[in-house]
Parts: sequence; C-alpha cells; structure tokens
Amino acid sequence: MSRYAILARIRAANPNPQSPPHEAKPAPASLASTGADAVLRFRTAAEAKGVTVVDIDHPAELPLAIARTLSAANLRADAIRLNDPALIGLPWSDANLTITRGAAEPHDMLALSSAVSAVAETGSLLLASGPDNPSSLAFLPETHLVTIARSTIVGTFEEAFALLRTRYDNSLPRAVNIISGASRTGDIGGRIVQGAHGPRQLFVFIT
Amino acid sequence: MKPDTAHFRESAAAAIADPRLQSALAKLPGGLVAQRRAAVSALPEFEALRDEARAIRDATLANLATHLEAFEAKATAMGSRVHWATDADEARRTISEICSRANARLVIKGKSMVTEEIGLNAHLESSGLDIIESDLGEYIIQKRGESPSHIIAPAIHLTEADVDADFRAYHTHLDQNRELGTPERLVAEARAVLREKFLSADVGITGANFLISETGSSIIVTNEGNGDLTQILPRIHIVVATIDKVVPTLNEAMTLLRVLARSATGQDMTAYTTLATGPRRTDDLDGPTECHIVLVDNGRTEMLASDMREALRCIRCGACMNHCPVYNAIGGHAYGWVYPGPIGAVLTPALLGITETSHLPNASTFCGSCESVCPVKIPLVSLMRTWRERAHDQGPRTLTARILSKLWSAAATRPALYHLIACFAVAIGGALGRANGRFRALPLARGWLKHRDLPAPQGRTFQQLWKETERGVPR
Amino acid sequence: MPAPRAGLFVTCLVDLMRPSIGFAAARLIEAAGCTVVVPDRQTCCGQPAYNSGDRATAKSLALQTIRAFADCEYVVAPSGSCAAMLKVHYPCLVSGEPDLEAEADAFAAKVHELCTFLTDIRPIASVPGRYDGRVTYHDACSGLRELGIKSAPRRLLAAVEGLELTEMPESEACCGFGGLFAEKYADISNAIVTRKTDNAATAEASLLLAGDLGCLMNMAGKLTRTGHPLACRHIAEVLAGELTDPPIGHSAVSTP
Repeated sequence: MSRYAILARIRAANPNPQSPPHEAKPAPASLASTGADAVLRFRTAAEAKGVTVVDIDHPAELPLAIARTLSAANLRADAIRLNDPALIGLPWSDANLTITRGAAEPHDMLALSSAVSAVAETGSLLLASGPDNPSSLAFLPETHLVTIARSTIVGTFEEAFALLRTRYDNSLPRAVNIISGASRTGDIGGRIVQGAHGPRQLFVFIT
Repeated sequence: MKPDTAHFRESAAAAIADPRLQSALAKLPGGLVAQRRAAVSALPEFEALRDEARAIRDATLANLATHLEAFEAKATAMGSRVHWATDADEARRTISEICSRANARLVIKGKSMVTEEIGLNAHLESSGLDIIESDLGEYIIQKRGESPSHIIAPAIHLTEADVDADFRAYHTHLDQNRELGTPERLVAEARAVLREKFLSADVGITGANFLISETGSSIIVTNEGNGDLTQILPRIHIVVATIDKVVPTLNEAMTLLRVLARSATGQDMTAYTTLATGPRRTDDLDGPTECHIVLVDNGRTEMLASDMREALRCIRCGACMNHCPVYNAIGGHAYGWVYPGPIGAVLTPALLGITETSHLPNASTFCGSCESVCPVKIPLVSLMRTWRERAHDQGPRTLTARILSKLWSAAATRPALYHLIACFAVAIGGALGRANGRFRALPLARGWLKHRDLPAPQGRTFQQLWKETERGVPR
Repeated sequence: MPAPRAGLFVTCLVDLMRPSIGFAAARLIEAAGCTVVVPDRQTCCGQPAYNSGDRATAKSLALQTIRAFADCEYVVAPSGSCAAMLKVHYPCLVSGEPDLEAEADAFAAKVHELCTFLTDIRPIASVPGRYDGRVTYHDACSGLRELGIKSAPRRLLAAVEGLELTEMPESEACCGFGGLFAEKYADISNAIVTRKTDNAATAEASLLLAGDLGCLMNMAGKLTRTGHPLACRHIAEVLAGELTDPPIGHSAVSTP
C-alpha cells in the first residue's frame, strides 16, 4: 500500500516526468591516466594514504616478497588466510607461512585478497566478493594484503566500473569493496588514528 | 529523539558558555575546513563537478518514481527484499518486525542519519532488543545518551578527555587502573569492545549514501570499516534509506562520491566505499543470508512538491555546517534535533513544521558560506528566507516586534515622512551620543548593547546635508 | 559628451548614521567622471524586510527605489549588501510579473557597488585619498559572495599613497552582523564578532576597513566596548581622503 501511495505522491509532485535523462559526463581530465602513468599514479595516491606498495616481477615471488615486507614492518605471522586458487599453489613454505582457508575469523592476523581492478585517480583497490575473495578478509584481520595485476590498474572509476560490467554482466557480486587505505577514525579529538575497526595496515603487491 | 527546537536561544547561550564544547569546536577551521580547501584546490574540475552533481540530483528527482521502481526491480532480482514506509512509524514497525521474525536479540548499527530521524534505537530498545552503534563517534554519544552534534562527525563536540572519562565509566569490566589518555589507546579499547558485538549481533542496520538503480546496490562510505562489518557479519542486513537517495547509474554515483568525500573530510575517497548487492550467494563464504531495504518517505514527497525541493539534493557531507559561523559558535546540539547547521535550518522546518522551529532559519547571518561550499549548490540562504516568510505570515512573535515592523514599513514606503522622522531621530541621537561617539545603554537594542556599543549618528542625515550643499551651503 | 548621471544610493545606514561616507562616495564617483545625483525618493533598499520574511514590504520598497532612479545611467551604492539587494534580489522579488521583471532587470543592470564601479565600470585615474599607516580589510559577506567583490577594494587601496594593507586571518569570515540577527541572536552574534575582531587585531593595523556600514558598526561597537584601539572606517572615507570625522563609534570631542 505504502509503495503505491509514495509513488503516486512523487508522480503528483513531478507532473512533467518527461524531462530528458541526464547524460553522464566523463571523468575529469585531470584524474585520467593510462598505462605506466596510471600505475605510477596509483602507487603515489595509495602511498599518500599510508598504503605500502610493493612491485614484484613474477607471481611466484609473492610469498617471499610478503615475508620481506612484513619483516620490514616488524609484523609477525605464522598463517595467512587466502582462498584464491591462483594464489594457493605459490611456494608459501618459502615464507614460513601456512595457509588457512575460508571466511576470515576474529583473531586472524593476516589475510590476502586479489583485487579485480585498481584505480589510479585515488589509489583505490576494487575487491569483488565471492568464494575466492570473501569480503570479511578485508575487514577482520589485523593486516590486509592485496595483490593486483598491473594490467588491471586503470585511470578512473568509470573504467573500473566498465570492467565490472563486462565481467559480471551487470549483476554485481554481493559486495564490491572499494578500498582506499587502512581503517581509520578521526572521531576522538579530531586526530586520525589507524585501525579503527578494520585492518591497521594495508599492503599492496603489484604483480 | 524528541525535538527541542523552541529553546534554541537558551541552548545556544549555554553552548557558547561551555568552554569544553568551545575547545572542541575550535578545531573545525584548522580541521575539516582546511582539509576541504586543500582537496578542492587539488582538483581543477571541482567547480564543474559541483554543477554536474547538481544536475544529476535534479534530473534524478525529476524522474524519481521511475528510478525508484527501477531500483526496486533490480534489487529484488538480486535477492533483496524492498519495503516502503510512508512515515517514521511505519519504518520503525517494518524494521522491528524483521528483527522479531529473525528472533534477534542484538542489533549492531552503522552510522545512519535517517535512523536518528525516525527514532529507531529507542523504538527497538522498547521492544526488548539490544542496540549497539558501531561508528566510534556514534558509540560514544550512544553511551552518553546524546544525539549526534554533526552529521558526519557525531562526537565532534567532545574532547579526548571526555571520551577517556566516558570509557572508564562504561567499560566497567576492564581494569580501572588501565592506561588510556591517547586517541590510539581509546580507539583500541573501543575496537576490542565492539569486535565482540559485531561477532554476536543477529542483525546489522546501515543507512545508504546512495542506492543505485542500475545494479540494485546500496552504497555506504566509511573510514572505520564499521559499516562493512555491520553488513558482512550478522545474519540479516537491513538498509534504511530515504527515497531521495536513489541514483540511476554507477557512473553518476561516482560523480557524487567525488564531491562528497572532498566536501566532507577533504579526502578524495574515504577508506571504504562499498557496493552491497543482495544477500550472500550460494557459493559465498560470508555475508548476510537476508538483505532488506527499507525505503522511507517521512516528508520527502511533501518536500518534492513544495518550494523546498532543492533541499532534497543534499548528499549529507556536512560542509555547510563546517563553514557556518553560527554552527562554529554553538555546535550541533543547540539546534535541537538531528540535522544541525544550515541544511538543518532548512530540513527541520520541512520535517517538523515551521511553528516550533522558526528560530532555526532565523538564526543565520545569511553570510552565504554554506552555499559557496555546498557540493550540489543548494540555495540554502534563499530556502531559509522562504521559511522566514512562512514564519512571518504566521505573525511576528511579540507585540512590540509587530508594532515596530509595521511602523518601519509605513515610514520606509513614504519617503517624505521617512526623511522627516529620520532628521528628527538622528538629531536627538547625534546630540545624545556626541560626547562619546557611541552608546553603552539605550532603552532599545538591548541585545546589541549587551555585548557591544552602538556607534552614535553624526547628527544630520546625508539627505539633509546633500540638499544644503546643492543650495551652496558649505558642509 | 556630457558626464553620465550616476545616482547615489546612499543606503539608510549611511543616511542616518554616517553621512560622511555618502560625501566620500559622491567625491569618488565625481572623480570617476560622473555627475552625482541623490534622488530624495530613496529610503531603504528593503533588505531588513526581505530577510525578515516580509516580502510585501520588500517589494514595494524595490519598486520605490527602481522608480526613484529612473533617470540615472548608473546607480552606485557604498555597500555590497545593499547593492546585492538591488542587483540580485529585486528581480527575484518581482519574478512572475513580466512588466516589472523587465523594469527590475534593466535597473539591476545599472546598479554597481562603489569599489567595483571605480575599478571596472568607470575606472578612476587616481585615488584622491592619502593615508599614512597600516590598514586591514574585512570582506563583507554579501558583496563577496553575491557580487564577487574581492580584488576591487584591494586594487583601490593599493593606489592610496602611504597606505599599507595587511591581511587579517579569515578576512572572508562573517562578522556576525546579519542585520536584525545581531539584535535577535545577540549571544551568537557576539561569539562571531569576537572571533572577527580578534582576527582583525592580529593584523596590527591602525584602521579596520570594510565596504558595509552595518558590519563596521558591529565590529566598531565590539572594539570600543572592549577598549581595543583598532578604529573602523568605511573604505570610501580612506579612498576619498574624507578623514575629518572621527572613526566609527569614536567621539569628535576626544579621539583615542
């Protein structure tokens, strides 16, 4: 009932609903970039948000690169939670890390997700939920690691959305998490503190 | 919350006299205001984006029914249940029924202004549910029994010393001699306490910054990640949003997001922007098993049909209050309801009626700072003026005000009479004020004279003197 | 070619409180090559009524003012706030009435705030005033945000011999005047003007200038009440060199 009442009141308030649909404009030119420029801008923007960005040449190097990065950041972990089949087969024993699978659990120290795309304009990662990348991995663990293929780093969000539309045929996964830095809050005394409810630190590995 | 807009003047005076509140408010200019300025100057197209954002909002409102129907169809196809509520009461009942059908005991919430507006927490508590706010600022004020004093920074009126004392008082299960004192330690404590709640909550309630017709998704933006834990961990996710939140496409939402974060906190993007589309899929390892979306009217269709329509463009960034000299002087609580600052001065009368709320649009210097920063260019001054006209039509508040206003307009519209009275009044004023050049006390203008002197007139009107010079009398 | 007729819209505050500003404005408009006329059918621009929600009175004052200046080529006001009322809001007051709209639009096109008139419309060759000292300038809200007055006063002040302009922090912040706001919400207004005068004081100037007498009376009233030596004047007084009268709120008998 309320549905019809509300829609009828809206239609009464909008007697001429024939106004032309809005033509969306492209992203601002100053935010656009492509290719190597986009990768560089992504890195700069992410680093400005406190994200550590690491380049690696071969996916196989990922476990060691992660081990080195964690050690440089004085972080210790025995286990890493991940579900992406493309990552499971990597030599994790090289890094003294054991894999745990499934959705994140309350006391997880470390989780690794794969991003579907990354956006240079703001240094943001796009994570699509699914069995390979449960969205809890991005929020429950103390430290979040994300891999992103260099070829999927685009200039603007419009390009990233186009990529999503192609991949998911206009039916998005349950959650698309656009992540631009670690969890933070300014709610106490106006000063920014990292690690409010989600990860205290975010590391990105460009492969 | 129960509105108390009629005692605005008294609440404002108390706010000004509160040194603790003043020290918290003093951080605004160097904080959110300076951060917005930096973000805006870093994006050369920002001005063009404001025009584009405004155009998107206007075009959406012009076709609102169609976009809502499209959203409903897509959201339903993606597995969400869409509910419609004409007013606060229906919205509260709808949400409470979802909770009771699920045998819920604990509800965790992400920050949402519409749930403040409809008084959701009190209602759910009265039906026996435990409600926990998870946004850190909201958590603090919930514990204090207060309402938010800012739409994006609800505890902006508090200092870290306040929060320290509050946490010691509320978290009685923790060691009373523990060290707190720094924002880092306070945040860590809240994180640990709230983590337990996230894990045991049955229902998660969030608002929505936008609803996307194209994909049937709701979008929330947060920095803490609390909104995401709220919509991932509990079995049931309820999105509560007013009908004006709908946006046709992802690309249009992106334009709005580009101006939203920059206007609100000076970020180009908040830490987390999440598109949530329905419940968990068959092969998903996490996510809620049910997703409900409650579309709330509660006065929006009336605004759409009225001359307050432009206020529906609002995307709740809070920039108008950050830049308002009145808000900066008194904070948010003095406004007496959930929406403070210039947008509150327009929205509150629209939602509660002008009779009890007429102080809000009147208590503005009309400096226009709010309009100059509004990301969707809402003409806040002219909308406040329209409310003043409504209030004026209902008659001035006091007899003295009524008489003075009548006398003034009678004189001002009769130039000869006006100049005669002016010469007379100015001669007296000039004679009395000549010795000091100003007045410290007078029978009129008591408000003015309470805090400042009134400069005295020079003794002759310009018109008088000009006529004399035209006749060749030296000045 | 005969000098164009420029009507001086005195503004009610200048007419009543401080005619010296009117004479300073007249002198500057003459220096810009115009003949100054002062129609006596003008009273108030109607802004107090307009902003109090009394649209009917505001509209009759709008029509009264428009007709009073019918034979002028320009209408110049020593106030950004009143000029914005004439230029921006008069057309709104008569919208929906085509004949009056045309009249109000034609009127609006010839209205100018004094400083922008002297820089952009009839640029003056040289500024007559001279001031030996440091001044600071408050950007009054209506002029700044409705008419975009920002550089004009500064360009004119830069041309005053001997004058040094020091910017105060937050020069664009409201002074808390707001017309009847200062009386009706006195405590809030006081909080705002206190911040303003504190900021102005940091410029360590001898004069605080602005283009609007309302703001100036508010700031001067606060400064004299707190015993601060910073004095207030309308920018036209300094530009025209009309400095014989004591600053706003100061006594002719003993100028501090």
